[in-house]
This record gives sequence, C-alpha cells and structure tokens, in this order.
Amino acid sequence: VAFLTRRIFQGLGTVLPNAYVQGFLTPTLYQGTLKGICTPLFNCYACPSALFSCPIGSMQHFAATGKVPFYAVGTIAVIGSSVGRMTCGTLCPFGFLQDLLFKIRTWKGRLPGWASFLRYAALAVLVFLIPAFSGVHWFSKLCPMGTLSAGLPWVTLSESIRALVDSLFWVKIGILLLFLTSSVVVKRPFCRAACPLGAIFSLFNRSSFLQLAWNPDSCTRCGKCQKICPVDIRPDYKPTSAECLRCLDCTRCPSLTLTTVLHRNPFDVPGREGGGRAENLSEAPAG
Amino acid sequence: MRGRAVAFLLTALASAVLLAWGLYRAEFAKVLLNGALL
Repeated sequence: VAFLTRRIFQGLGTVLPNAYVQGFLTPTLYQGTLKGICTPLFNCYACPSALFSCPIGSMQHFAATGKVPFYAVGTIAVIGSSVGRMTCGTLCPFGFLQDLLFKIRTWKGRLPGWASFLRYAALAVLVFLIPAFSGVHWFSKLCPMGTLSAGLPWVTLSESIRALVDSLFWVKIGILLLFLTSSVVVKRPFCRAACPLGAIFSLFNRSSFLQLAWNPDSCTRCGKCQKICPVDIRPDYKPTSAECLRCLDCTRCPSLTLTTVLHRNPFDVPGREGGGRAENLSEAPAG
Repeated sequence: MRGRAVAFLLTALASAVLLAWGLYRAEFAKVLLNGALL
C-alpha cells in the first residue's frame, strides 16, 4: 500500500506542477503569480506547462546576477528541515522517471559510493560558482530535466526556437540520453550523482523533523531493505544517511519506521530511550 | 536524540529566517519575473 501511495504521489508531483496545459496548446509560458513560488522538486520552469519555478534555476539566476538567493534557499531549507529528502523520493518527476526506467528488465549494476560527492560539486560549481563568475546559467544549459521538459517541447512547438538549435543542444540531448539509459541499469543515477537540489536536501537528513528509525532488536540483517531501496542503501546501517530519499519503501519491514526527532523510542522498546544503535555501525556495505 | 532535536530546531529557525528575509527583500517578485521571462 505504501509503495502504491508513493507512486500516486509521484504521479501527482509530475502532473500538478505541470498543469498549465494551455502552454502546450498555444504555445506560451505561464506568467502568473504561482511562477514566483519555488517547488521543492526538480521541475523545469521553462516547460510550457510549468506553473512554478525551479529552485535551482532561481538560485542560479541570483548567483549570475550577483545576489544571494535568500528566498529560494529559504524555501528549500524550510522543506528540508521538515522532511529531509522526502520530496525527492515521493514527488520529484525526474526521480519518478528514473524509478520507472529501472523497472526495465536487464542487467543491473551499482553506482560507486564516491559518485554521490559529484552532486555537491554540481551544486557548488555549476549552480553557484560558474554563474557567479561568468553570468551564464550553465547548470540550466546542461540540465537533463530542462532538456526533456523544456528544450525538446519548445524545439518541437516553436519554429523560431528550432532555428536557434546549435551544437550545445545536441550536447544537452547527449546528457539527457546518458542519464536516461544509465537509469535502466543503475538506480537513480541523476539523483545520486548530479542533482544539486538533492545535494541541498541531503544536508538536512540528519536533523530534519521526520526521521527514519531502525529497530536493532527485530532486524535480522537480511538485506531486503537494500534490494527495494531506490538508491541502493542499507537503512539498517545508517537510517540518517544523506543518500536516503525518505521514500519509506523500506518501512514495509517492521524493523524500520518513520518517526520524528521528538520521538525518543519509536519502537517502544523497554529501556531504550535513545533510539537505535544504527550510527555506531560503520561497516555498511558498498552500494 | 536530544542533540538531533536541538539541531532540528536550529536548522528550522535558520531556514525560516532565510525565507522570511528573502520574502522581505521581495525576492518572490524577482523569481516570478525570471520564471516568466525565460
């Protein structure tokens, strides 16, 4: 039931922020008040049907114009401090697409652990540093979600934009294809290795209001939680992992549950008021 | 867990201050303009 609920939320996270259908029919870009709101999702605001703004695009724009993006960072920080990376796991349209692509039956691989550091580099270099020094929105120029939901539709719908297609467009297509094809063999490669929004949300996983709790007394270390995890982690080794998307798929196991920072004994284990021992275990398997 | 609760309170407070300061500086309108002019 929880898994189906997540799929429904992912569907809503894809459809609702892109409900301006008129944008595809006319074609025009929505310019109403909602466009001032940054969604906590990786959803391109240049998509013809987009109702809201992309927080990463907004941060990058502020960096490129030499300003500090208090509002965009604040919006993301408020959501991150409440639910951690939960919007990545339950609402993000690009994450949903990667989840669906991984369902294709073929040989499956694993992303190396060091790849997760790349998303922090993408955030620092492509979203803040390069735009700040060059004034050019380089992350948006290369963003695969932008190519999929804005670049391709606009090139298809508008003859004047089609005339602007140059070599950079094909580079963008190549990046999009790289992430889409790798999503078939690796779980969520973009979220784990390249998403700057996920990088910001990751910083809040340890201190967010909602937390994942693990019960060491009932856990048999069977590893099934890793098999169903959309980012290939072992929540029993580190429930506060920065990689965890808080999708709650693993809570199908009775040894894992959603709790809050205020709940000191989520499994009601007698004599244990300090939570699980998860963080004392440092030998988590790779993946 | 108490440390984590304190960390949550501090980050939530800092986040709310950031958001409020951004709204006070009318950044909502700047984001709206940027999003609408893409």
